[in-house]
Amino acid sequence: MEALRVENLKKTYVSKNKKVEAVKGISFFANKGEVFSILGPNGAGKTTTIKSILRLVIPEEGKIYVKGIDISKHTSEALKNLSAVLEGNRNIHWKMTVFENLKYFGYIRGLGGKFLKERIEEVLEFVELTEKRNELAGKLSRGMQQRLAIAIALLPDTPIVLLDEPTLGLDVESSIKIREMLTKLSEKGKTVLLSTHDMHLVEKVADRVLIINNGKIIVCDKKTNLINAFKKKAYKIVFAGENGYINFRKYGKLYEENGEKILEVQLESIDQLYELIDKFKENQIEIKHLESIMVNFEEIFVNIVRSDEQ
Amino acid sequence: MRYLNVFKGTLLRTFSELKRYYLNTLTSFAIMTMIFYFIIVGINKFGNPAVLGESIQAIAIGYVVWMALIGTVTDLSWTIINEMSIGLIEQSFISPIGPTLIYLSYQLSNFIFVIPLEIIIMMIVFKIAGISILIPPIFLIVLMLLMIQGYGIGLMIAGVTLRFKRTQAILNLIQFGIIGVLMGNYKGIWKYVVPANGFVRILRNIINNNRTTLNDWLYMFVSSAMYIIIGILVFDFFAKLVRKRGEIAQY
Ligand SMILES: Nc1ncnc2c1ncn2[C@@H]1O[C@H](COP(=O)(O)OP(=O)(O)O)[C@@H](O)[C@H]1O
Ligand SMILES: [Mg+2]
Repeated sequence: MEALRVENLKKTYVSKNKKVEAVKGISFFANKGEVFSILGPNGAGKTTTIKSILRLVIPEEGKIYVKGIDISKHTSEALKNLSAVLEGNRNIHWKMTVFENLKYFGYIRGLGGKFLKERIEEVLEFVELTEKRNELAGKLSRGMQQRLAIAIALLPDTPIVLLDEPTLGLDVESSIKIREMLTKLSEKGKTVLLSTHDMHLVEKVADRVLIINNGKIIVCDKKTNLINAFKKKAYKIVFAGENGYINFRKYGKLYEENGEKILEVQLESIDQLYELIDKFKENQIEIKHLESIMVNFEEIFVNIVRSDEQ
Repeated sequence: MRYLNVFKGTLLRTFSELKRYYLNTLTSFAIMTMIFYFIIVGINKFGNPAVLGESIQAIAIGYVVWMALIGTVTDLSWTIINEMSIGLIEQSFISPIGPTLIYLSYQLSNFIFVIPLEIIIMMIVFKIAGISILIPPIFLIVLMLLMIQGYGIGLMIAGVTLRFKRTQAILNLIQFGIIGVLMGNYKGIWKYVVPANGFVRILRNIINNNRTTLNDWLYMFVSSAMYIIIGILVFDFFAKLVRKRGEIAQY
């Protein structure tokens, strides 16, 4: 089921002396319960896209439907289904305690009573901050602050949660914690839309990935499809003999492991692989073993963006 | 119910800020009172004895009104500047309640916390000035109406702050601008349009002979209502404008 739909989104920022086309006609949708990830380098238009969905920015063109509700027509109704952790390190009130923060942000969304009380305990537990409830938010570590921001976003129990660069500037341990939380959220049926340039995050949690660059879509597909598409093209070749292989250094990454000589190559097509094997034959080089391997997601991303820029 | 919750939220926030900044509040309050004390001492020393009582009284009332207005007119803008610079303001814009109602509620909570403080200031100032500290209740009601008008102006200025961001210099000037407005002698239509000024005359009448006319009340209600309504509309206009420009948090 479709939770969120963005159609032909365009946003140009106009200031005194310049125009920036931040988003140039982006369309996508996110299904209920999936982690949808917007991936792109700095300045690609990720934040602008997320802010447009939240109506923090009004795009000059395009339609956004939140559970079928047109946000430009029924803003308040649509916003009831959305909550967000925005970019940057301060979505929280540093001069208030953890508990006060949750109460304050719950209240200003119109929540209250028993519902809010119970939700506060639930989200505190979820982000593992129950013990820190009476500490000033400003005194928490950066990772805990981000978890508090996530807790605040989870308070209203909206079906869709947006996160803009949720692991930016966090240490590895905190990032892993947040990764786990996002996975749990999608398991609970929440639609999680996140933007990031953290490839590990995408690799671990995303169901579908939208890669954008310069405000345009490069590719939008299931993460597994993206990985498969590249998996087929990367091969690991283990040589049997001792000599001759050194000439093949220029084809890829050549190294030794446990006394074995190994070549890793990335090829455009299966034909290229056959050509390569023919060349081994010509040079009387024996192959012990050949397998297709996984490229890491970072390489996929870099390759895609690079080929787009050419 | 939803709106009551929003109000609880802004009350909680105002309270926790007050709690943490109470030393600050107390110091600035003590300094203000001291300044007032020295003004009175100065007047007593060099003033003309024939009109002395009256002018001290006028200054005391003016001072109380000024203290009441500074906060109401500029507080929200300071809060918004702070929220913009630390990235909190978006949450108000994402809330289904919307920023206009949230910040209006913030003004209301501010009002509730400021009134007791205002009464204490008033009693001290009146004591120093040698006026009875048994303040007539209608004096308080008039002062509250005046503050509501001030909050209306506060919303307008906050709207401008949302759009133009760095308004600190203007906010500081406004503190003194208020004195000018309070002391001015306006004629014709301006007598009704200029805020606060008309209230000062009414307050003086109350202290002198505890009397107000129906016209006074009509003027005060209409004037306060107009300012608060226009304040809400202006703030709402700028809130929409910054959304369109994509400049809610840009600071
Ligand atoms: N308020 C703004 N005014 C002018 N230009 C902006 C504004 N916000 C973002 N931009 C520009 O729009 C482009 C996209 O920005 P952004 O959406 O923040 O990208 P990302 O989040 O992917 O880094 C960038 O070139 C950025 O400089
Ligand atoms: Mg960004």
